Amino acid sequence: MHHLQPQDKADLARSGERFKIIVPLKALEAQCDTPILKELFENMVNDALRYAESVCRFQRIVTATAGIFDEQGERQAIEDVRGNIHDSFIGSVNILCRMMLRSGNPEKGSWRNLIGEDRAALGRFALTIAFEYIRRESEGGAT
Amino acid sequence: MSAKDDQVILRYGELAAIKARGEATRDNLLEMDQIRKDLNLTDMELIDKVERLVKKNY
Repeated sequence: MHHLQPQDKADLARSGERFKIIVPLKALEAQCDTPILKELFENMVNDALRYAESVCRFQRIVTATAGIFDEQGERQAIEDVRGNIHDSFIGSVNILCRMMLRSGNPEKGSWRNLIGEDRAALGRFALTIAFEYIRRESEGGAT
Repeated sequence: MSAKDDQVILRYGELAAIKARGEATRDNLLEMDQIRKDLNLTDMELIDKVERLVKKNY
């Protein structure tokens, strides 16, 4: 389980039931207008989706076991996997931003400053992107 | 919603993320369909519930 600061918890509670959209996915995607930026954007979204999946899995297992599972370091193993995916997502965000800045238009990388460097904030950004993307894909294809 | 329902909803979130990555198997899609039927909720309603649960605990 992530440990948020009391202020972060209060901010989250105030912002409603959905994650606050810091940078709209559509706007970010529109700025990725070269093949390399498109590829990096897709990598970032893919990592965000993997992160969302790992968070759901972890919470499901915690709920199923009333938070007391730790046989053979299972909890630590799941935390490690999630941490690795989190690291991968942060790397994807930073690479995309760096390449956008190198594209000749410094304005393109300004979105990165809105997220900050806090690991929890980057995790929330990953989840925001993931849910935006999942909704968009669900609306696009009937299930 | 019970704790058991929460587990099923979170499982739906895992599957929805896999599907959005384009990696869902036929079994994954059938499982999603079954969850929608069991809980009598639409895809969007379930996604909303997943996000609410994740956000509450995150």
